[in-house]
Amino acid sequence: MAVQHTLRSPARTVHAGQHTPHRSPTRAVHAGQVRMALICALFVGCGLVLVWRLYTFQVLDTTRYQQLADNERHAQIPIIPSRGALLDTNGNPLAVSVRYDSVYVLGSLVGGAEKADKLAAMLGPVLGMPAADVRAAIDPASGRPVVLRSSVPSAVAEQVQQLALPGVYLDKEPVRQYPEGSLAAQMLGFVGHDFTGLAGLELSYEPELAGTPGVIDTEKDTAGQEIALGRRLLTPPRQGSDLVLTIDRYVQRVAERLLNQAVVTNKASGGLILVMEPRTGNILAAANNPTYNLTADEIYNPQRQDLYRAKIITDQYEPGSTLKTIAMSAALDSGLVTPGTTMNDTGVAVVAGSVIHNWNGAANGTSSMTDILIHSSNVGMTWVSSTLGADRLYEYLARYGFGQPTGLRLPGEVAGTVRTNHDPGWTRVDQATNAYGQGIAVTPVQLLQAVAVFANDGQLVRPRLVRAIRGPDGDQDVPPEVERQVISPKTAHTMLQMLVAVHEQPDLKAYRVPGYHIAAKTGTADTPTNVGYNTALTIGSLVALFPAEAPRFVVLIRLDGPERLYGGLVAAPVLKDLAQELLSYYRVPPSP
Amino acid sequence: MSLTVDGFAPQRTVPLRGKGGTRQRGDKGVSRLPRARTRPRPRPAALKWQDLRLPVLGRLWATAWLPSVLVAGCLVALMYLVQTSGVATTGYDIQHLQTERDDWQLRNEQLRLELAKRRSLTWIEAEATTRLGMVRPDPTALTYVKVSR
Repeated sequence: MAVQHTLRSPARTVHAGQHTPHRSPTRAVHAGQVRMALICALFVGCGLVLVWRLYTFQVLDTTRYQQLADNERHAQIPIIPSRGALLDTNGNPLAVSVRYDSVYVLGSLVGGAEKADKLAAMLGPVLGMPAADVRAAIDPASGRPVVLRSSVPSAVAEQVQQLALPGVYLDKEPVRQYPEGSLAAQMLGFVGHDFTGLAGLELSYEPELAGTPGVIDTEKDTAGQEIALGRRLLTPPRQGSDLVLTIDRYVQRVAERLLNQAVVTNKASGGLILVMEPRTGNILAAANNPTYNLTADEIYNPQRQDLYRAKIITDQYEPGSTLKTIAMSAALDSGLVTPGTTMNDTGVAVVAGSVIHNWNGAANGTSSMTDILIHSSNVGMTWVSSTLGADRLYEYLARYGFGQPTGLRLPGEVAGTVRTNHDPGWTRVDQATNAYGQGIAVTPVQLLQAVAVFANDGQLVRPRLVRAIRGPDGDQDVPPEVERQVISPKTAHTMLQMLVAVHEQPDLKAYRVPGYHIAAKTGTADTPTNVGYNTALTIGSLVALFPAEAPRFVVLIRLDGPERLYGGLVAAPVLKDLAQELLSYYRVPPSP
Repeated sequence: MSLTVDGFAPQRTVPLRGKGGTRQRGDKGVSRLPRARTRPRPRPAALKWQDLRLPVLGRLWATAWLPSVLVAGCLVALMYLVQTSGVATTGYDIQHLQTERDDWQLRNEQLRLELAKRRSLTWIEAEATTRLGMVRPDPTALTYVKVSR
């Protein structure tokens, strides 16, 4: 390799007339080599400095710079799991999550007032909004995004995207939708803006419905886009599970329609209808009135918090004569009475100094146990409770599940109020009144669960609202649970026969369903106040099992504060319509 | 090696032993250095393409190994570049397709909801009673017929 050095030092420049001292070529070469050495040293020095800096960057401060670099390009993209759906027992969706685009505008990026006018004129027709409204929402000086329209269908979102307007962008957001409208609103509940359950099943099954969010740990470029060749660590989300409810949308709809009609007809303040399959504990319908609108833009109204409770388990009430069935079955099961056992109903009974009257003040004379139920005699039930004794009465009430939560997984369940002979303040009057459903408070589900015992050969089956959970790991069935044997099968059958006699009494003839036997008991409970009972404000109710030979349905109908005070008058017509609908819908053949 | 300093042309070139090239008399440090007394180590003879004793490939290698290595290096670099570029493009294509898939899934979700709404009892009843003029059937109209087997 040839290296050429061109020496151009001023000392070597020869000017005209100037004396040039003699310099030997060897010295000149030496000077050049020194310069070369200096330059080399300079380069080597610079190189060393660079190496040193490189060493400090790469070795000494590795962590710090790695952190800075990571922060610069590192991105964690959350993956929100889709919330599970609520399905009726046949798989029809009652509540589903669907993602929709929301259209935002960032005023500062629009580019001034004139462009904002143009933007409003272009965007208004696409969004189906007046251009003036769109323009009013745009503040060209504002740096905060404003929602122009949420829950935009994908076709509209595509049109917005094609317009490519500056400052306008789309964001996908999940929205909870209710295809059946407000059906079973108090059971389903609703979610908040953060998409967490706030009431009903949405709240109590939040862990199953919500799922677990995932994340993409990745690197982004300067435009904020994911770098294709960058690091990418995916933690997949766990999607929320679907709940298959026991509710049948048709039965629920029928129950709601009949309840609303009954409330209007009877000028009641509200009411409820519960329909359950006794063998499985499946709640087919749980209708409430009043209820709330699930399709409203803003579901929650802080001033109407009472609407959002699942009243079938949160509100206790005095059941009245419907509870006579329980006390009577206890006496029968104990072997103390038979359906044919008689007593003398004088219309008045005195217990520990307190006078007890029949609901209509009538004296029914010699009455069998079946007659006591038919006439709904308070005096007769006072006799039964005294025959039964306090210990047996409260033991049976406990075995029927009164005073204990049913375990139905809804928020806010109460246990009811049962004051036993072991509790302070208890008197013998309590023993008498409890037998006909006064001085004791139960929840509607507790009463339904207890009455269903007559259809289950004396077994107590736990009611349920969810029959299966369909998750990412497969389907998980929620099997029916038999709690315990409460009464003997024979007593259960006897009770059904006695209750058929109650429903087929002449007073209720108009409410029979042709071809079918129905076991039923009506009830009318005065409303307790601070100074006794308000007899002008009642709760009219009815429990029924049908068809009586092998009950497929157990029903509770309750109307609060009806104009016509009595359960037999207000609830029995509803039962007839409901039974006809259910029997034909489920194609139940007539009684033999 | 030949070292030329400007203004000092070499007067005579003395061939040196071995493959070291030529040395000039004016070379700094060369002319002043005493001649090496030790006998230089003999170097192995370089392969030459004219050497007929070598096979054809060997002769070719002897001549073209440097360009071959350079070309091969360039090819490898080019292939890496093409591959990297391809992967990057594919990555962005995948991202684009994922976005497109998400859009279709979103549209699918919305259509399913629309379908569910159309199948809802509320909608069916409203259509039946208002548009089609249907009426609710009388439940008592149902009659069961006993058939002997």
